[in-house]
Parts: sequence; C-alpha cells; structure tokens
Amino acid sequence: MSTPLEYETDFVVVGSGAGGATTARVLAEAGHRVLILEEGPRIATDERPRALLDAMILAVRDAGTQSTAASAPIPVLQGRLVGGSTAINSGIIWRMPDDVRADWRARFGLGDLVDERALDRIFSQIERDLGTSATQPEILGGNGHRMAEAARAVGLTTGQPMTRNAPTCHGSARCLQGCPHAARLSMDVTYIPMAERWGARVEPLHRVRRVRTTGGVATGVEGVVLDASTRRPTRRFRVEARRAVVLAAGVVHSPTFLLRLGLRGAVGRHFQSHPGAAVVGRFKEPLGMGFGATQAYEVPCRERGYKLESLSLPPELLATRIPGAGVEWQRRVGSLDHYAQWAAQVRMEAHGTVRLGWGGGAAVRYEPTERDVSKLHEALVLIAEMMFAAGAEEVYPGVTGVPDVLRTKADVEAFRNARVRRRDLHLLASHLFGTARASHDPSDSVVDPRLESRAVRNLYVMDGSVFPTNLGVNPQHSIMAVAWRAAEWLANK
Amino acid sequence: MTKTEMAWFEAVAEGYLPSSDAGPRLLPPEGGFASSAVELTRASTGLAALGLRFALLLATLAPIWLGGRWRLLPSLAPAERGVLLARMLGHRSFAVRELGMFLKVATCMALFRSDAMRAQTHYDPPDTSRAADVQTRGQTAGAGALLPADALRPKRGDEP
Repeated sequence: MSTPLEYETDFVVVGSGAGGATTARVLAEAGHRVLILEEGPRIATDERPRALLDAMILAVRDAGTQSTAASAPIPVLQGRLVGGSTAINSGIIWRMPDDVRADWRARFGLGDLVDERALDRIFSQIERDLGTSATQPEILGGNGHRMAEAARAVGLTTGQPMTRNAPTCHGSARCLQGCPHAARLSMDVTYIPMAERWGARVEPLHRVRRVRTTGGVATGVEGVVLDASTRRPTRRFRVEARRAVVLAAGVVHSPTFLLRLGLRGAVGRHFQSHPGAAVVGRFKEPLGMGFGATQAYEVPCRERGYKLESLSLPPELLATRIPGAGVEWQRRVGSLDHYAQWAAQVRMEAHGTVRLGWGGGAAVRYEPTERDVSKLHEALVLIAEMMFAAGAEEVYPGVTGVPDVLRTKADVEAFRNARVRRRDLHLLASHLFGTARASHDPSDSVVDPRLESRAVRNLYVMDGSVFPTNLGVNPQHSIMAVAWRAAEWLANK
Repeated sequence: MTKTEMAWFEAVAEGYLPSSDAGPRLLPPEGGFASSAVELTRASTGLAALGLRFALLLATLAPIWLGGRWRLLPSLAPAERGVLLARMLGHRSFAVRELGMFLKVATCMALFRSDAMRAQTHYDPPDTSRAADVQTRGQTAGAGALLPADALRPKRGDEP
C-alpha cells in the first residue's frame, strides 16, 4: 500500500448509522467541519438488489453470518453501508418509554441526557425530518391486516399499525434489502445528505482500525481504504481530528476500538438485546406477503416483556421457515402467498460481553436466561393462538421438540405445555445495547453522562453502546435522540 | 469451495425440490446454484464459511450416519435426499440441527436468487398496479423534502 491518505477535520465520526449520522448532522449544522467514515459502501437507490443474497453480501456485515459465540449462537444482523442498520431495518419508530427514562435518571444519573423536555424537542424534530407516521391501511398488506384481525380475535387491545419513517412507502416488502424507492427515510437519504449540505464529508469503504491518542487525548483515527468489489485493503488513511473523535460503529464494534486502546473495566460488558423468533401460519386464502410494509403491525405487550410484530420476510427466508425439506416442503413453497409470519421480540434480562476475537475482530458472548426463554415461549404460543383465531390451517412454531406443524387448538395447548429450552429455538438479534455504558458511576461505566470516554479525553461514543439498559422497543429513534442531545453539548463545548 | 463441494451443493438443492409436479420446479440458472454458495462463503465470517462447508460434508455423508446406507447423498434419488435433509433439521443434536438450518438458508438464498424460481412461489403480487397506486398517493405526502433529487423516480428491477 502506498503513502497514506491524510485527512484533517474538526470532528471525525466513525460509522454512519442512527448515532453517527445524527451526530454528524448536528455538528455540521453548528458549523463544524465533520468527516464521516463508513466501512461499507454507499449504495444508490437503483443499485439495491431484490435477491436477498446479493443484498446481504452488499449491505450486511459478513453477509448476515455474524453471530454470538456462546454454545448456542444467535445471528446478529448489522448493516454495513452508508446509513448503517437504518438502511436495512423496517424503519420502526418508538420514542424512549417513560419508564426507561425514569430508570436511567434514577439508577445511572442520566437525567440530563434524557431530560424530558429536551428529548421531546429532539424527538419531534427527528419525527418531522423523517416523516414518521402510522403505517397506512393500504400498506399493511395481507400479513399486517391478518395480524390486526388476529389480535382483536384473541382480545389483545394494544395492537396498532406501526409508526415508521416511511411516509411514501410503496409496500415493496423490501426493507431488509434496502428500499428500492428510498421511501424509508433512513440515514443515507436524510441526515447524511443533510450533513453534506452543511459541509460534512462522507468517506465510504473506510475501515477504521484504531483511535490515535496523544497523552490521553484522542487526536484522530487511522485505518484502511477498501476496494469496492473485493473489500480488500488498498491504501492506508489517517485522520487528524482537532476537536474530537466520535465512535458510532454500533454496539458490537464501538467497544472494540476502546479495547484496542487497552481500556478495560466496563468496556464490552452489559451487552443486551431483544432477541426474537417467529411463527409462520398457512391460510387457505392468499394473503400476499409480497405486498405491504416489511413490518406493518405490532402488538406491544410491555408488561409481559415482549412485543409481537408482523414480519414479511423475503421469499428466501420465508421458505426457510417452512418446515422440512423435499416433496412436502416443495409443495408448500409453491404457494408462498398463503403465509403469514409474526415475530416476538423479547426484552431479555441477560447480559453478555463483547471482546476482541481472533484477528482483532469482535467476539460476542450472550446467553439468554431461563426466564428469557420462558417469556419467548409464552409469546410464541400466543402467536400460534392468534394464527388459529385468524383462520390458519397450519401453524409452524419452529421450535424443536414441538411438532413441526400444529393443526388444532389441542396442538397449541401441547405447545404451551412443552418444555422449551434455549437450544430448541432459532433466535435472531437485531436490537443491541450496552458495551460502552453511560453512567454517573465511574466504576461501572465507559463514558460519562455526556458520552465522553472516562479514560481518553475528546473521545466520545454516540450509539446504542452507551445505553445502560435495553428499551423493550425498537431503538433507532432513541439512539438518534441521545446522540443528538450529546452532539449539541459537543458542538457547544 | 472445491468443485466437489459445489457438486454436493447442487445435490442438496435438488433434494429440496425433488418433484417435477409438486410445487416449484428446479430451474438452475446458468452455472448452477453453487456459485451462490461460493459467494456466500466468501462474504461470510471465517467460522461461518467453515460451518457451511462442514454442513455440506455432513449432508453428503447423511446416508451413512443418518440413513444406515453406505452411499453418498448425490447418489440417492432427489426425493430420498429430501427425506434425509429433513431429518437433519429435526435431529436431536443442536449442532446438527443448526448446521442443517444453515444449509437450508444457503440453499434457499441460492434457489430464489433466480427470478424464474421466485416466480414459481407466487410470493410477489400478481397485480403490481396496487403498488403503483400507493406510489402515486405516497408521493404527495410531502416528506420527500430531504431526499436527493432522484430518490423518488422509478427504479429498474423493482417489480418482477
């Protein structure tokens, strides 16, 4: 590799997802010079593939094969492109729940960070910028509509169309692959271009390897530029940041930069998540999962510790969820328009860790507790009940030790009474928290309540890593608001 | 992946869709399905790439360790392969189940990467005018102020 590229800026932001893009937007609007570094590519709207494999290779870290390293691995999905995970998620918008704000204020001394009036102002601004609104009936799709009917049929009163940042949603059911219409107002089509208009610079395909420090003060970062097609390093780069370095590389990767600096203590600890699993139901009449918002309807069950969501997966993953292989599987796959799929996401109590793994990458250890598994079991049984209440002919719980296909209410009762263990479930984790916890207690935190590192001055973490607890709701909006609040302080420092 | 492993992957794909009249027929793209598995392993973590190759080996040897017959999976009729692949998915060992599931995910990604295969599943709505109607309505919602100038123009490859 030849001479390193050199950049000089006020602030360098590592990562362009919910936290990084929001931070960059606020700093750039305040007139600062901002450089945003993103490991993934910048993908134009008309370059987003429909085939899941192509989309995963292009835009998801390790093509979706990143997973926890415990005895029963859980895939951990993270976007790796300009816009981060906001460019591959379902655009579900939830404000931080009041009980979470109260808890953070009381237990972690974060009252200023999550001040009610300040957050209201910021949430409202983000909602205006991102056009958040309830999913309209035309976009619910057959999957979402059927879930709404099912919730009513079993007496669940908290069901509602999801509020999303996709006001012009076409119902392409392609959120996961990257919206082909830019209808979901993710960071790549909102705050990143907005920051650029205020003078920020974005450098995709820049993999940061380490934070540079001098005398306990962060002074910049260095890394390698990646080739667009092979993703192999082509050239080194170095950034001098005069004001601060902001880490916003996500819950799995932000702590790795701190660990490479030799920081320990709470770094990488308190990894938390909302792992989920899904149940598929087959209906006599076509529902048309291929049309509608990828996620459109939800039933929050906060007091029970979980949330139910409609989930219109691409055909590749829906087919995977249909039990078995061979002739019977083939017969069922021939009518993918007859299926509904609803997922449960659990606010799990388990805490895990992120450590440096082989080759300096991240190794995540995370094991749900028995209570977590029990909550998920309860939620999956509820979904099976809902499926039958809505007229399903067959229900596929996807749980080992339970029949692949449930056909009667008695089968559901047997599912309820089955002993379900962690290893009987296929989980997926997409909402991540912790690993660089913010708190007023220096002994159990990585950053202070203004999100500056306790060990290295001018080094900030502004993503879900700083959350001391999980939320029980989709985190994008809260990550953006917390980053915004801290970025305002940083801009005026 | 080696050429032998790629042939094993093709045999697995045939095991998932063994019948000529019960659902989607196997329509291999030019070059077969295995190129998808190769691309997936290249983009995966090292451990996942190793896992997929081990899953393939396990499936290939399934007639021996699961079926009690001294044969390899590709030598069986596709319908028999499907039976063994299904047994892997329900195996009492968590590791076997997970590897079987990983192989199934890789197979489905390969199978439905092709538009012709996908069309046979009826997943996509037959009447795309519904999407077009919504697009017209959605564009009047006024939230596109932040979008780049080209963000709302029709995109190629959007509809089947």
